[in-house]
Amino acid sequence: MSEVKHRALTIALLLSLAACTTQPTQPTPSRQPVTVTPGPATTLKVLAGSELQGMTGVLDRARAATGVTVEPTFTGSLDGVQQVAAGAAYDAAWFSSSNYLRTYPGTRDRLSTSEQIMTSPVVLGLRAAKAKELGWDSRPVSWQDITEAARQNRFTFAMTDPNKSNSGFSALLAITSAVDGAKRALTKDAIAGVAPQVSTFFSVERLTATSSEWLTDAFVARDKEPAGTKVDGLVNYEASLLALNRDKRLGEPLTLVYPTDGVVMGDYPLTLLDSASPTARDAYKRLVEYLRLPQVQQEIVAETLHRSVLPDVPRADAMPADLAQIPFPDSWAVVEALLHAYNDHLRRPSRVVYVLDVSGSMGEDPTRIAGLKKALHDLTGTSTTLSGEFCGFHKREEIVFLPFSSRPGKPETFTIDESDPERSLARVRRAIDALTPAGNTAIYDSLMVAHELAKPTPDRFTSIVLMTDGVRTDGAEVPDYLKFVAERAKGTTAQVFPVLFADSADQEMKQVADATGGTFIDGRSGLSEAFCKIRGYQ
Amino acid sequence: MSTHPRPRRRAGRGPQVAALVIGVLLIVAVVVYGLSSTTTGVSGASDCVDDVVPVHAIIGSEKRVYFEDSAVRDRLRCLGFTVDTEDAGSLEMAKRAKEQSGKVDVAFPGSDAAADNIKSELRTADDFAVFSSPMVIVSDNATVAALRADKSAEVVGGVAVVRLEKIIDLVAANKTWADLVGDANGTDRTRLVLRSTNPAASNSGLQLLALAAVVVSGDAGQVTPAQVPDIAKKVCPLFWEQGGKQIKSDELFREWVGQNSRIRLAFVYEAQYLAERNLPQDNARLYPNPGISSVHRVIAFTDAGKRFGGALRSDKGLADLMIKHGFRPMGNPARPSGAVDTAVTQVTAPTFEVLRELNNQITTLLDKGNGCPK
Repeated sequence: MSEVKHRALTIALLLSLAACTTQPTQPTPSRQPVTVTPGPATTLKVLAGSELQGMTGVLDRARAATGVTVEPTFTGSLDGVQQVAAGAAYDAAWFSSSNYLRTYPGTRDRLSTSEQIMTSPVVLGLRAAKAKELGWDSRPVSWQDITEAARQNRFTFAMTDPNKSNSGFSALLAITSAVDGAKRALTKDAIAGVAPQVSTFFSVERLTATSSEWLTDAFVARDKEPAGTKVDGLVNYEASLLALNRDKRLGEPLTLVYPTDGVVMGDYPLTLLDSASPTARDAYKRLVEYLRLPQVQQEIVAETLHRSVLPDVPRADAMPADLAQIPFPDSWAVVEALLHAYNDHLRRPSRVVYVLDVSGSMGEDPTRIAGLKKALHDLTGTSTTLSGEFCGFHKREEIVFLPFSSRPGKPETFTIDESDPERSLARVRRAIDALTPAGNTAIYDSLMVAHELAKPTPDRFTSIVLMTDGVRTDGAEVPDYLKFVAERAKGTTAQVFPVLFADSADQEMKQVADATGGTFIDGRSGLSEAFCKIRGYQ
Repeated sequence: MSTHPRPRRRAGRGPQVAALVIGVLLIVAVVVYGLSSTTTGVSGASDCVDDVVPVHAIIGSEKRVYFEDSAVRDRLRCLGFTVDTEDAGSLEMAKRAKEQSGKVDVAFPGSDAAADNIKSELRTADDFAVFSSPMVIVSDNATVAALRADKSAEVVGGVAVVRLEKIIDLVAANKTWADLVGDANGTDRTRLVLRSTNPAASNSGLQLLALAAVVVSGDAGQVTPAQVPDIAKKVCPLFWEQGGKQIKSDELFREWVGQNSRIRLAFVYEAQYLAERNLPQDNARLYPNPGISSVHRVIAFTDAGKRFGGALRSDKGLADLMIKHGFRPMGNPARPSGAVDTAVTQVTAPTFEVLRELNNQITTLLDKGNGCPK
């Protein structure tokens, strides 16, 4: 230590001691080091949850201070587990919950050290007027109260797909555990007993998505819809909900509801993977040290509205303390059982119209029709991957195939039987095998038919998947279709999810998605993966 | 309710007069040190060694604060060491050391069992017992009152102790806090749990497992391998009902201090409690009955590591700083401020092999996803 620095330190110590003696009730300064020694410029490849997109500012400053550039690849929690288990080439993983990586049997040995960076509970945000109407702005609310209000159809909400995203899974876990009476950590066997009440809650779910970020944006986009069709609230991280209020992205603020019987907390562990190189390990250490600095923790609270892991960094104003916590089951078997129960029994079932291009070009390159058939077959339960296991067709679901070429074909509807799903799935597989390419490509005539088949109903999520390998060559054109959509009453148009494939007209596909509140998915690097991804919006 | 933030509650410890006196002493000390450094130059006091070697240490997270203390770093530098630490659960240290083969000088776990494991995995015999800390249960006054009314806690020789056997029974019987007759308002319908770290990863959790194993075995003697299946079943609820557990003691303790969620009982090191300056208001500390103390040993893998272990074991300056951080240096009668010696029986922990087998069997039970067998 140089003499100058030493003097400065002495003065600083004297000043801080003076401060202590005059203001004894102030929180004492933290014991953490105040700086991080910068190291060589290193890029850390991090598999991350989408909600960490809000950390950009913090990570930019981290790069300046430490030389470590975080290169994030965003994906869902369950997909992340699968990638880590498969030994994907990342240095670290950073998701909102430690519980998936910790309990999944295939990942335990792939994890090295881990550090909790911040926390945020998953709660329900309701539009202020609706919260007032329900009396939830002024008294304690339990999950039982929420379920009862759902039974009376007094509110609607949005939530991410628990198969893809931790915020959705956390809500599913919290309500299931709470209805079970919170008498014990949730077990596999307890799930069936509470299914009727839990499915009542989900009966008022109106909007879903694969990620918390997308859900928030879709919720904001619907804010301008009339009162009858816009969604009353959404389940998300406290941090995201408070940010919506702070940034005034909605016409009226959200009231946050923290159920008294418990919430699930996100703990955001930055986890080094076993396979990281010594250079990456060193970078990880510097980054973590930086992120835990008291002033950086304060910035995280101020900018992203997460809660700090350092007890002496205060919460933001609107954050209540002493929350009751719902235990996250210490068993992958429970996670799996809860997801299967959700898909087959608890969730509001969906009706999906698949608009499938079987024009001549799909057969001229035989790999195209074969790829489509394989992707659809995977959804009938033949996929063996972890996310494949959860993205197949579910019990009670309605599937409509609308093949088209020069004109829309004959729609065929399948309902997956709750007691004998295999029989229904066998019918679906036969219909897939029967798809035969020939003729032109009447995309928009077919989409218009699809909208008639996918009219929203209170008891189902409805959506349309459009899969085409080329441009429209027959029938209505894209302006005709956009006019058709614009003229429909608000809230009566199902979202369309186009899959970009082969020679599809990407710009037009984006227009279709935007006009209907859907999103396009790139299927060029794998149709099966794309079809699986879309399932998170259905 | 939820929309009404509660003010953050904090309480200082100790009278302000004492703080003032200590403050003045510190100022004097700093000034004297500042003056002396002007004459001795860069390396500090004149009795410091010139050669400084880097030491890479894998430490239990409860010791992180100690090694982050600039006074500790200065003293270690004076003794010839710059220390670079990474923290890990005590049961994960052997794996971390192997991952970074040749680059780790010491591991510094929190129990004899964890130390034995590392020594056998890394094939080294060199260890230095540095300090100890009894395990405590941190809580709040309302919870202690509720447990006392329930006759699960009592005051023995002026110290609040909790009967671990009763806690195990309450957890296994699916009790909520509101089920306790003594619960102040009877409205907390969340489960009665004793939070700990994951015993398969972290030493403080392992200490709870060790203690619970002895308690349920009902035997004062050493737990035998033959008893393992029965003990695993009996202690299983303690770990299952908590749900997912942290892998570092520091994270659990900070969660309790931070009060984002309400933790009514957490099993931690006494040192963590004694050294914390931001304890929640109404905080309380219970000693488990029977009790268990953690012994923290440096396991050396290199020559530098051996010298480092020796210094921690014998240096008076470092020992004083250990006391400041709430630890009890080995072979030193001095006690950290606030430490108490209870009259309760201290158990002898089962061997590492027995604890590992217990962990394996408990993990197998938990993995099934249906809680614990009746």
